[in-house]
Amino acid sequence: MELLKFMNDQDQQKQNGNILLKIESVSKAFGGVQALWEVSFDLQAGLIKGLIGPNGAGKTTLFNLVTGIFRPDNGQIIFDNQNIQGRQVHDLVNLGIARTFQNVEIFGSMSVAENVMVGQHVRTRSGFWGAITRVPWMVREENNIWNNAMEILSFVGIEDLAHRKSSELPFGWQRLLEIARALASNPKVLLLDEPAAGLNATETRQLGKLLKKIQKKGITLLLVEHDMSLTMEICDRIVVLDQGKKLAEGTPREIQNNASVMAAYLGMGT
Amino acid sequence: MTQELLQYLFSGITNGAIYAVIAIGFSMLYSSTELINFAHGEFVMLGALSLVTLWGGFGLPLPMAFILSVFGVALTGLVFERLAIRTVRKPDHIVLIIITVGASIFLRGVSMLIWGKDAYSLPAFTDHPPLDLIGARLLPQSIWIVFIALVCAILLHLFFKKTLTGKAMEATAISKKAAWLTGIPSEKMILLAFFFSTGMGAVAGIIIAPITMVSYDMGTMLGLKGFCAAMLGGLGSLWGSILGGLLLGILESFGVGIFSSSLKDAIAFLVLLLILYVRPGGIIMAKDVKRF
Repeated sequence: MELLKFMNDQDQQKQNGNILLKIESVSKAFGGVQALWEVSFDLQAGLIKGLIGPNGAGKTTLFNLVTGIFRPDNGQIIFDNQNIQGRQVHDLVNLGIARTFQNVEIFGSMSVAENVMVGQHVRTRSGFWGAITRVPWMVREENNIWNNAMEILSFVGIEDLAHRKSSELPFGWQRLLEIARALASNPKVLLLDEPAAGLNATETRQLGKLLKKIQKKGITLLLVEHDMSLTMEICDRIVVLDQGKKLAEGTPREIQNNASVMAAYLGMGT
Repeated sequence: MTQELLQYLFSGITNGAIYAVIAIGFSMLYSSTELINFAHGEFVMLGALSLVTLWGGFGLPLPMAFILSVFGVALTGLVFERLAIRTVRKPDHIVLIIITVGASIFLRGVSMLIWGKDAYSLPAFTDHPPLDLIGARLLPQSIWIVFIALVCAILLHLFFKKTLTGKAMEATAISKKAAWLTGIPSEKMILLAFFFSTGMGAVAGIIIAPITMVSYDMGTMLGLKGFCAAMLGGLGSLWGSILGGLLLGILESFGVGIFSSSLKDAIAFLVLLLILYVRPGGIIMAKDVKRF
């Protein structure tokens, strides 16, 4: 009986919980430029999905829509069964959407550990009045925040650098720090904007391993990436955008053999 | 001669501590919002006049009157942000700065209606006789002023270094974009900056009240001095503001003592001009200085 119930639960989860993020015919224009046109795809929980396409295909725009920086002109974005249209950026972080940037954006004059501590801000009781009145509680919470930060830093493998000033780190480590800070908000989905840009081959391989490790923790990943070998290696599924439209979707193998994708990338006539 | 110099030093440090507290207010707001609040001096005045009413008028105990005045003025600061700053449709720096100048005139006018044009005076916080140090007189109120200024500076330092909210504010100051997308509600951080900044202004007004005449128009000059101090030390830096304040106070006091008391206010502006020519980032260069 117990077992049956358990199996039922699992079935239920497959039906409801499987789709974490649903992009439904989303369009966005900037002036006369149609950055996205009726793009739809689902992001299944627990998978790594790659978003690829030539420059100007609308990948970063899509990220900016999901993270609440822009509003779509048309269409819906459903995250965790909620329509997230028009929500504030920090509300979305609170719901479990975290991101990193194409050009690393860290708090340069703060230490590595402080960067990750700040990332936990949305997970703490830190309302305006709370900040002024809650002094006695603060200390205990601070300790938790510190321990958490160290745990996350050791997860991404830079715990030795905790006390270093973050602007002094080499670029590759700054990128890891940015991922660590994003993980600190305890996200359900992590959006990575070209995480391998500017990394050398070894660093890229390590990044791939780290992303797999993040996936094993149950965090869903959506990444924009130009490094095809990395994308093909770690992604479970890939969506191809071209000039604001969805061109194809499938497993890495399917994408590699897709004629229209090759046309978009290599400029061959179809 | 030594005792005279020592006397100048004492009065310089006293004034300097007050300039420092005012400068901290300027700096805090600048580092979070890049706004120079030219109404800041009026919050100093409001702090002093609130103390006149609560301590001198209603006869509340001093610590209570102190805290109520600071909170009252800080709340006024929040209202100021909500009504005058937040509502601006196109928040250009120049527009905002002019709004703060307007707010300053407005606050002075309202205070004149409430408290009148007369100047008030308050007794020192404690009525000990002045201490005698090698022939120089040290007023107990001076000790209070330096002590309270130091406590404020240390509390703020701890707030920024030890609490997550403080770090979140610092993060917002470093990179608004990254902080925003890390999930830090920047609007709340700006409100908090206004709260602390105007609260610090009130503290300055309260501690200076017993050694000066308190009136509705006392804020302008104090505000400008605080601004000079902040520029001198490095706008945006806590310890820079303190350094700038003390330095300005001491320079002023020696200038008055050695040359002439009519030079008192000129010294501050001379220092401001010099610093803008020689080292526009201040002694502690906190932020890259942008030229308009």
